[in-house]
Amino acid sequence: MPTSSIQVYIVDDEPSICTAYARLVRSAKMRPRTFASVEDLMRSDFTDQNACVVSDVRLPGKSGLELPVLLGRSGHHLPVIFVTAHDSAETRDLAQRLGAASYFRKPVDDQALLDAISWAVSAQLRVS
Amino acid sequence: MNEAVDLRSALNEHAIVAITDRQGRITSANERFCEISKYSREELLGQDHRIIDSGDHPREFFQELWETIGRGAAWHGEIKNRAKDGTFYWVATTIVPFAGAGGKPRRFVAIGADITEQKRVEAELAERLRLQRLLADLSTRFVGLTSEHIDAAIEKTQRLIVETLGLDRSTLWQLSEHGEGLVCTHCWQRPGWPALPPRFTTRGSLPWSERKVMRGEMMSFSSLDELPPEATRDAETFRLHGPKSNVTFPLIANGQVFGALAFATLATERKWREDDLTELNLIAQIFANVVGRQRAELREEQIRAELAHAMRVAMLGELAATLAHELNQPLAAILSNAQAARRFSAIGELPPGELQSILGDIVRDDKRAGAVIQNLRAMVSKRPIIRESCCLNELVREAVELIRSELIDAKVEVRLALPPAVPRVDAARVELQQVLVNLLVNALHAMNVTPPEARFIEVETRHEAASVVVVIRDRGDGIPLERLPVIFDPFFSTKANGLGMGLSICRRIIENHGGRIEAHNHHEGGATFTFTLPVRDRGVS
Repeated sequence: MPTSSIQVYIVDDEPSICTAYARLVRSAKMRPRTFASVEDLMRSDFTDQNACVVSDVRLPGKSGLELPVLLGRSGHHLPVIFVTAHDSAETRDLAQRLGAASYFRKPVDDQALLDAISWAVSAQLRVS
Repeated sequence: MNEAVDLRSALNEHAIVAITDRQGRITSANERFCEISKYSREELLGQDHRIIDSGDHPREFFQELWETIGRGAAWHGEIKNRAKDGTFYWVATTIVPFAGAGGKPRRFVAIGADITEQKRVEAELAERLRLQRLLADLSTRFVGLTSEHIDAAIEKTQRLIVETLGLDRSTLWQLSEHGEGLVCTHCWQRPGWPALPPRFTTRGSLPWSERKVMRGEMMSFSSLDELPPEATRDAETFRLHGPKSNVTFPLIANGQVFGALAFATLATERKWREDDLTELNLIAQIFANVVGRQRAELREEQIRAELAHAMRVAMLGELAATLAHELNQPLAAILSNAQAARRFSAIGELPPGELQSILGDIVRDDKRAGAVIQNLRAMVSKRPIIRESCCLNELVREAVELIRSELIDAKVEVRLALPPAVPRVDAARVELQQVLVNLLVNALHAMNVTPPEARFIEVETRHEAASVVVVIRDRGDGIPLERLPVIFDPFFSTKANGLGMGLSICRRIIENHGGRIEAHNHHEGGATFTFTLPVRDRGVS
């Protein structure tokens, strides 16, 4: 599976973070799209094919943690990777139970994030 | 004929009599005249009245006298004279001119009565009156003065008292916070006397006086000989710095001596009369009031500063998560940007212009992180907070005092129920102040829309088992039920401009002290905040 076709939806209310992650994603030959909130993402026309979400947890409006449930409820099969500055054991547990593909603390290392994205997308492929 | 002789001898017995010629030369002086003037008859005869002139009457006084008797009329008046030994005496005098040939006065007969004692009493009464006027003036003199004007007013008043009472120096002493005994803070003395050394203290130099005053006793001596043997050190100091007689009153506020007011004579010894002491004591009490108020204001200022500091420190603790986030965001962006650049260049596919924008973003984010640190540093200061034995009733009163002007502006009345038997707690004063101020200010804000006549805050303290309980109740609309469970959480705020830190700080402070804080709605309306603190452990022994 060529990585160039992987679509990464980045959700973070901080524009500088969105820009930086988007660059990182591009440098790994993936295609980024950025959103400032859960609502923004849900409103958009995104596809599940060969894609995943990289989202912050604490966001204006709906929490990033709601994403797995919201996506599932609307019939999507899209892995969600969380990257948060508000790291705590509870949040980590909750994210896991809600079906997060991965969970990272900010700042996140490039290789770890990119590997997680690749792994999540390929795992998704295996499932479907 | 005999009658005239009798009359003359009776007159001589009673009055001071002198006869002068037309030029005013004394031609006759009776026994009483000689007695009071202390001159012999031989010394007086042939002299005019200038021999006993006191020099105290103005020239016009004698001009009027001569003019009156010159036209043949009798003159009545009071004359101050000087005796041969330099002492003064007063004579109520009547001078009658007797006409000779041609109707011109041939001689003058002066008859007088000694009124020296009467004059002395009058002068004393006048001084008494001046002093009483001064006292009345003093009690209003300091009203409405701000702290910085009080110093000048104190010295001006010291001067007034010293001058009114004919003293030489007045000193005001205040108890040092650094254990140096009483420190002289204000001094006024007549010019020409050597000044006291700066920051002159009683410690070591006036041990006996200091002990006496600190016991709340007045200390006075009319001469250095009156000092007891145990005051040898004090006597030396007095000798060195001038006082020949002195009286010192303790200044007392809230049952504690916090200073002293002293008056001294430097030129001569002075016998302190009972009246002097009574009135000076009254003056000292007025001073105690004024200076006590000034000290309280100063303390209040300190409390305010410390409170603000504690608030900042506590806020920083409470904001730790926020601050971490604020730092983390730019750091996270910097890392990803740098790593993206490294990847692009590793594969040799850096898009045109990309490096410039990446570096630009890194610089911006780095500056942002720097600004966060800068802010943090500005908010932190290092004064340590210590725990001590505190009286909650006192803290409640101080907190109410601190927000007094806000209470007035908001037309809110505070009703205190503070039973005196409430035990003390071990606590950081400033932190408890902060809790109380916070809760009081919240209570005040909660009544924004309450009709003014119903705006009151009740503060109650009580002793319950091993705790002291403090209850603060307002008469606002109460806390909406859905907010009750989260009201002490950080970031919860009903105020648009608030950080929402207040109540969470309160909870943290109370819990740090081993206590609990709760909020609920009173069944008769309004919100009630209750906190408990463990009673001070006196130790088991």
